[in-house]
Amino acid sequence: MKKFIYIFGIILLNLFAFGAIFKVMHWPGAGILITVGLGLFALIFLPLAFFNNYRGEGKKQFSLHLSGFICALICISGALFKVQHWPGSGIMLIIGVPLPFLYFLPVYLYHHNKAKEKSVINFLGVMFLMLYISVFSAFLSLSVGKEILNSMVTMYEDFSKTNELYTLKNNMDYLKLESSLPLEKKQKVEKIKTKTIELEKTIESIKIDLIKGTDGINSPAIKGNKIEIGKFSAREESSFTTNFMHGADGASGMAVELKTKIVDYREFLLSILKDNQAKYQNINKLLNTSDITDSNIGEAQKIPWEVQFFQNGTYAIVILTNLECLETRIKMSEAELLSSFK
Amino acid sequence: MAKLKVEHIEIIISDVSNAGITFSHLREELIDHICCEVENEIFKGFSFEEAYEKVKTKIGHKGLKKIQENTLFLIDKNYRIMKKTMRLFGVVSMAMMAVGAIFKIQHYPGAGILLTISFALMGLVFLPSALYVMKREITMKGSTFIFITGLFGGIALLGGVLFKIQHWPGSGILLLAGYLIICIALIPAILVSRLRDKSVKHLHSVYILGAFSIAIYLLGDLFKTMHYPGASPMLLVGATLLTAVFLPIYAYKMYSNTTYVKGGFIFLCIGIFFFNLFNILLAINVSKDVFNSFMKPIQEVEFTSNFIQTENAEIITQLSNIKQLSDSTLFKKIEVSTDELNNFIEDIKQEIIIKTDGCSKAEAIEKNKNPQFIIAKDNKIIPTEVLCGEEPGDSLKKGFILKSKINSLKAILLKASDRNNESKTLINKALETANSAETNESKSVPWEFNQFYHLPIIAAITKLNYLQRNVRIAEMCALQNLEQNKNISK
Repeated sequence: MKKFIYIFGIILLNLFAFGAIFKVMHWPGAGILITVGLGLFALIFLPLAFFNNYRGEGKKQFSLHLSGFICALICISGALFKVQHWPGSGIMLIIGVPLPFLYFLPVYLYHHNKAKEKSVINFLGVMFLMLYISVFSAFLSLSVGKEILNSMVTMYEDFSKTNELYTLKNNMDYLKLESSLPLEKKQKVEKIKTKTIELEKTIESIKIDLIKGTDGINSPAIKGNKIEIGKFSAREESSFTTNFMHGADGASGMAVELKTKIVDYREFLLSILKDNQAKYQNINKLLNTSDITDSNIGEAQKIPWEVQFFQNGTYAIVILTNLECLETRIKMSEAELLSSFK
Repeated sequence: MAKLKVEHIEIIISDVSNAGITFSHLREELIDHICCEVENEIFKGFSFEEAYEKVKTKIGHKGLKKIQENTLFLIDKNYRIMKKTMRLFGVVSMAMMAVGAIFKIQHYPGAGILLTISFALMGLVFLPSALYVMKREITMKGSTFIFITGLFGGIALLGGVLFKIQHWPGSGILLLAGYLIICIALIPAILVSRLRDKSVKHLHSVYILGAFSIAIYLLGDLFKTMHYPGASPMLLVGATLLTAVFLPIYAYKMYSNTTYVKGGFIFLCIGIFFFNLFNILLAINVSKDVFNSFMKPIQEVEFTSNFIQTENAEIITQLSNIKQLSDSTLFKKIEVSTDELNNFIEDIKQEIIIKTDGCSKAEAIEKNKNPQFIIAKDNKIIPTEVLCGEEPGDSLKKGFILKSKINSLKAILLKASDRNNESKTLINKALETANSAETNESKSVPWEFNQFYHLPIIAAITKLNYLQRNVRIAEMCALQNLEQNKNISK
């Protein structure tokens, strides 16, 4: 029996550890490994081990064993519910996090005080384990579940819809203008179209490269030249993302390159609009690339345009969403310009 | 009375020393006492070996250690106070910390104070007293170094975690210092002192393995917290080494000769479970900084939305200057109903903020302008309750009303552009409120449920801003159409 319990416990812990690794790597099967590992650990291994230990020790410490078992059971099932996003994990967390300190620890200290043969090493071991658990539960209050990033995906999808809307509108305007404008102006409009498409392609290729760089070359999020953001799994990647946008020295990445292209595009649009003061101002506003003074920081600190849009250390999905926002601005500038021809 | 031989006394002295008796007065007393007892037994006719064995059983397993502890406890006031302090403050600070963590997760007020006090008690009272007790109890070579590094590493780590939770500056440096002291100084020092202990020679390889895997694991934690690249592989290697290699070997060497499942094994299993658990949670969760990432898109939607609104206002002024416009009431109607819908969405946002943060209306207006001041940014329950309810198709919720309002505005805008199919397409696309398409995996759900169900408040605000922008875009399409008609009619 004893041998079985030892081996069983070690196997279950390994199932859990590999489930955790699978989960982090987004490999399939993580859920089953974690559920089986933790479920059997809590429901079979723990009762067997505590009972066997209680019988073997031959001391009357029933309440100590019971408290240890109950706390471990609740903590482990709470963790299982939390990791698997099952309903009820919230309430289990509220009970499970303070329970070891409010129930097990006092019972343990009481028994330790009464015990004839005290083992200080065991006592300190228990105390330091408890310390580790409490500090890390406090630490984890800092982080939020990854599902918050899923709402970023929704935002990305929404913004893409706005961009599609503008594409549709601008294309309609192009068609109208082509049929109504004199030849010389038509050429200008043609040029705007090519320039805009060029800039949009740059942004699109930045997005695709970012997805391929974080999610792998065969990322399911990329179908041909189209992005299916819902299938992008490396949403929280941040180190490749920052390096990709800002380069190793902070000034050689895609962000700077993109800024130059936008400045070029803006100057081109402005050159067409020299006589139209109102539209000139509007384009300047939409495609503003100057540093922004952030009043929140207190001291008048200038934040470069490329950091405003692509913060250092942020997640890949955030950069993708902000690129989408940038595209909206470009499309709106294009629409502005087209309306000036009417 | 029989006299003990010198070599017998030597045996007793070395046994007493090996038992870990560090308190020098006690050591001599104990040796004296044991010698007397043994002499007594020899006097009764036993040999030295038999007599000594008898005395040892009388004192009991670990008995000498126990005597030392009791002696220290009785005569050393400092030690007594330290041990009591450690016990009391250990329980108090840990319980407070756990409750504080729960408060923080649930966004209850007072979490910051609870956590700050508990971390201070733990770092400045519990940790030093626990290490003091440990130093008095355990004889290890180089122990002073171990305890000092333990103290500084522990305090730096605790401080780093506290500063990080409270968003105080300097947490990075503290965490870095804490982790590095533990990984580079403390763990190797403990390992070296264990390796010097020749009595546990068969465990030396296991100790090296354990120390190595824990150090990798902790460095992985550090890299993850500091956003350095390479954290994930370290966590994975650490987890595999600790659970799949260290645990089985250690259990085999330590426990293969036991008659029942030892408490130590259960302790080890639960300890490794928590270690793995916290690391997987650390790896699959994201930092709260992610909320700041929502600010740029929110600003962008607001900026573009205002931009379109200004343009629309211009068109309206132009239109109202033309007196002989055939449908002069139409653009007024467009303006009024668009503004009405806009205000309705604004009210929804304020209502969600008031209910989530429990603040006044004035505060809610301020927080609506600066969403980074919303406290419970990840609250999903309140937005869902206000906008769509837990079950699809609740017609009393704001999302449903919003849908019908959007539809009626859409009707007005479509009427305004009835001669222009392109404009109609755009308006229909901008103010889309169809139910979600039915697929193999999911049934069709109402628009509002699809849009708002379990959306964290920060994303719900963005979504509503986005809808406001779409309303403005649709208005723009209709107005531009009117403007064009005007040009043609001129």
